[in-house]
Amino acid sequence: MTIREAAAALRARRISSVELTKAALDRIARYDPRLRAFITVTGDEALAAARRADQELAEGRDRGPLHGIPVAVKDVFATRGVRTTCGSKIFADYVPDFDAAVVERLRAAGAVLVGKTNMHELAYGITSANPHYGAVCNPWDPERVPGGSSGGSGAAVAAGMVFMAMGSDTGGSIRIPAAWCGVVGLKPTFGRVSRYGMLPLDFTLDHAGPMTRSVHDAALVLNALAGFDPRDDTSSRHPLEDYVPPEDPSLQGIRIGLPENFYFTRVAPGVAEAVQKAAQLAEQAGATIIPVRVPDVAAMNQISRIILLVEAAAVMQPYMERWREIGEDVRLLLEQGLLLSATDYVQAQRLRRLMREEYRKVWRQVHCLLTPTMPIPAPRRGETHLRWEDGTEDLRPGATRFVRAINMFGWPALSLPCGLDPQGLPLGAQIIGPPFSEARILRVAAALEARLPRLAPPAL
Amino acid sequence: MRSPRYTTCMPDWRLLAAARGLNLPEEDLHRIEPVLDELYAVLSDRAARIPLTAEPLINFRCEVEEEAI
Repeated sequence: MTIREAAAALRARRISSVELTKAALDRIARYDPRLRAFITVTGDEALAAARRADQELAEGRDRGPLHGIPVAVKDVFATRGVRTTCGSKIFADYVPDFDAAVVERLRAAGAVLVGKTNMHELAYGITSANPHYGAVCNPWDPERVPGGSSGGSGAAVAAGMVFMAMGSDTGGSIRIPAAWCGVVGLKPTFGRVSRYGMLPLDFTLDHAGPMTRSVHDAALVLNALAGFDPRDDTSSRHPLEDYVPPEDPSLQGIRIGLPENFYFTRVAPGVAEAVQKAAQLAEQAGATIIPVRVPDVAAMNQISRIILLVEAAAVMQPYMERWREIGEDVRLLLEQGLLLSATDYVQAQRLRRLMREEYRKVWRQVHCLLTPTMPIPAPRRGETHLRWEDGTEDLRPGATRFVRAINMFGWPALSLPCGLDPQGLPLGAQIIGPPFSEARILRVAAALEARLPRLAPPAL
Repeated sequence: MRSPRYTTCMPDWRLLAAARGLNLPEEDLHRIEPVLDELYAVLSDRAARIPLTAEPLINFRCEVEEEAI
């Protein structure tokens, strides 16, 4: 069931928010010991919120499509009175006295928060193998990772525990678990959704966005979240739109770029075929597919990593005396950031501007790009390398090749399930657009979703 | 007195760590070095070609792409 379907059922009095919330909590109780998607479950508060939601609907006070819908947020978003760990032992006892902007807006829209999802420690990694709160398992195959860093959110949505879970994305952390868990993940434009109250990993690369079971649901959530927030210095005043796409929209007049270079090399069997099939479906919906050449995205990824290393080390430097309590993989990244110089950082930021100039030329040719989200389906737990005919590469930089660079430019992107690989694991197609083109991205995604076979939920 | 010679070469990450007073474990340094070498190679190559007037994008904001179709 999607948010749209649940919202219709709530208004038709076929179901109540309390029933939806109890079902969510039952499912969490049943499957979370195995999946470890949650760090904290707020069952009593959720049921109280659900009762209020039902009462309000009965009184004719309708807060919109999220009213009474059980959702979760990654444990990187501050929640008043509920601990917010950022997946780390360092923040294990941190109980904020305020809500993050995202949480405020979800509550104002009537959503029912059932808990805080597990994640890669400090949102700094792609496996969500959390050493303190348990390794999150992929609902499609518990021996595989769900992706990260928003792995608990991806697993919770894929396992039907919640209708929507919020993620954060610094170098792909919404889109990676979305692709590997077979759900929709939307990273909006930098500044579109407030980051106030989101524990930072990187000041200039972090984004917040929803993970859902459908494109329409992602749009509904963006409608609730988008908007200027004076408490976030990077928040944008760019005009808002209704992000919800029409039913099975036409793509007439939309030019979709299909990269000829970089995005289709070193990909696992089935990945290129699935995305090319999606391109054909877009064409059937009226879009024009334009082959395009993209600049040196590999170099952009490296520069993005340098910025991340330095800024994340700066964020965590006040806690250096406790770095021994951080998992080894994350600690090594923080240490690397300490060794890069101020000059290196400024040069990386100068290159960031130049690279944006280089890459943005693509927007003179096309409205959006269609690429694979990930070069591989979800890897098995413990895998550290990608193996190709012409060599190997480390899992983290290798797997994030297609998602990382655009965070440097703040561009919006969405990952959409686009089929299964030969092993039956979900694959994602990524739609990338210029700043503030979320409505168009969602329209393209909705058209593809309407034509792609819908994935059956994973057997748990 | 000899005049200084400025060259671009790979930093000695161990010396840098020691100079900064970071007491990083040997096994961590061993794993960090090749990663930083790889990143630094890309950075220094590109940085050598940055135009003089290129400013950093530190105060990052997203704006509408004026030239987008």
